[in-house]
Amino acid sequence: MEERGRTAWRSTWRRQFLLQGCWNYEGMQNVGFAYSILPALREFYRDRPEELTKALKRHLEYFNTQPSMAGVILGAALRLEERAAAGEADPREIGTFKVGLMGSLGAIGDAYFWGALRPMASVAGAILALVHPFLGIAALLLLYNVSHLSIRRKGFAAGIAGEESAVQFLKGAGFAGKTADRKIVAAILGGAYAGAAASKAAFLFGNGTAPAFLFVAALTVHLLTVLFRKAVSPSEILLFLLMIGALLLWQ
Amino acid sequence: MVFQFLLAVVIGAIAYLDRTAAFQVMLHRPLVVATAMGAVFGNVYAGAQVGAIMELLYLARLPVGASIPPDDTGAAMFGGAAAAVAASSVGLSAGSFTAVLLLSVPCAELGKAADRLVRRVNGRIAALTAESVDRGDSRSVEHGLLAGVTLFALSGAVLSLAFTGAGVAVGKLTMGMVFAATFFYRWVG
Amino acid sequence: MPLELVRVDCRLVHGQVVETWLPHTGANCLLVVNDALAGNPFLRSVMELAVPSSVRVMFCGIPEVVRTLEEIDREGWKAILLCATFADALRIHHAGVRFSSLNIGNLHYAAGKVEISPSVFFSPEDFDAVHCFCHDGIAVVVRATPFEAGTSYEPERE
Repeated sequence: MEERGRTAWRSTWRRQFLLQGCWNYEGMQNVGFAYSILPALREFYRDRPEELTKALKRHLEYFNTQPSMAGVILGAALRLEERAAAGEADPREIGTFKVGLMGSLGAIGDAYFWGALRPMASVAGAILALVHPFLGIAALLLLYNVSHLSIRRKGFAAGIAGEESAVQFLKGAGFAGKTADRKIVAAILGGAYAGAAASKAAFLFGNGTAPAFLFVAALTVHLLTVLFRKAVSPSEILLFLLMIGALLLWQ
Repeated sequence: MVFQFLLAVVIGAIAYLDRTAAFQVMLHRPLVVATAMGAVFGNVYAGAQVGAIMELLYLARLPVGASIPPDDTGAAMFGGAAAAVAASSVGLSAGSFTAVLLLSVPCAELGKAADRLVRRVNGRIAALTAESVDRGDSRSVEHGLLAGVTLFALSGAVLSLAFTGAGVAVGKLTMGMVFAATFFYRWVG
Repeated sequence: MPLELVRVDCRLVHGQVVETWLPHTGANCLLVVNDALAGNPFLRSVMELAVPSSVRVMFCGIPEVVRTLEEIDREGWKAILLCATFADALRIHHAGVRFSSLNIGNLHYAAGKVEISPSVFFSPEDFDAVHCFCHDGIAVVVRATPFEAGTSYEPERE
């Protein structure tokens, strides 16, 4: 029993990477969630097809969170299902738990992954791409994924260990601090990038340095707005670039 | 050329899958995609140059919740291909660089519209899946998910072909225009 | 009233609020008005983790909303008010909280609901609520993030 349970966990862990495989507006990640937890449900409700169907229906309800953080909920939901299957827990608790956690985890994950880690990896990649394109790509992928994959793994493990440990993990991982740190690193790297790009542009365009510097200035302003979060769209920036381009061609 | 486009489509499908449906390991970022397209179409450095700028330009738009950001992967497919084709031996001219960046905006919007469409069709798939589960068929969840992933991959492949095709065409055009401008300039001068 | 935004969102605190609306409005306080949450310390503690430390998070039930807003006002915070449903928003409005427009972020799908935007689905009761708000001079704006143009239901002019 224990061995088969572990096999089921492992396939849930692998399947969570396809959480958004059937993303839709009505249920969002619902099919992905049901797909991920299905091997475990099959194990818990062996020889009880009606209950399996009921459990599966529970997990086809609306679900949406930041995909890299979903492992925490998935692990904890798996444990709750195990207890529900053994008659030790109320199945309704599972839905409440998922709905209660998904918004908050979404916010934590969006802030950390999309708002801080990805900008940091992106800017570092852009700087190193000035040295060599493949170095830039390697830096971007490594910086992002070392943190990304380790959080996925730790989050899933914490979820598997139970609800309390899941919350403990979220508190202990210090996401707020990490988010702030990554943002500052990204801002510093952004400044460095602007400097490097300016000198390179001055070298490339020779006496057309004024437009090059304008371009770099626009980029710096853009980066700052990204990091300090004011709503400026890429098309506004591109409009600005168009003006600079026109200036450049005018000369 | 056929082989190049084939390669672009395969890379594009993988990048588009990484964007939403699977993994999210950042293989879909403009820096990665544009550089790869640069490599496929003959100038890695030009691709990376455009990719790095796009990487930073599209940082502001987050895929939060149900709101879909512009398709920066598609913009980079277009930009990388166009830059690689347009770049002469001395690199990309500032004019064609600006042109490529501007023309990538409609690509990003088109890609976003396609993404919406896929997600709508997925809604049908999800509804069918739920119906089959009601009838006691648990395997339909696996089939539904597979159908969704396939749809994302297919739409990614089609978009990749369209964007790299447009990129190569624009790249050739700007290259031609630079030649014409040089010729005109000499003739007038 | 010190309210920068009043939002109906079935997911309450999540990425769209924290990553886009907080910086866009410049608010430094989130007031979550929800009867169930006010009585559940476990979910509250997780929700608090989701918000940057520079932003104050407060929870209250609908009966206490006016008192809580007075406190926020007295202490000079700029707040975003979040609630989960149109019914809650109406009750907050009737409790005497004044605002000129109501933002609708996410209201998820259920059978019998009509699609308004990709992430917002209205039930017949929701349409009644929109009518009520418009009648009272409050515009209802369906807009998930500040990047979107949004769809709005304007109050009728007399």
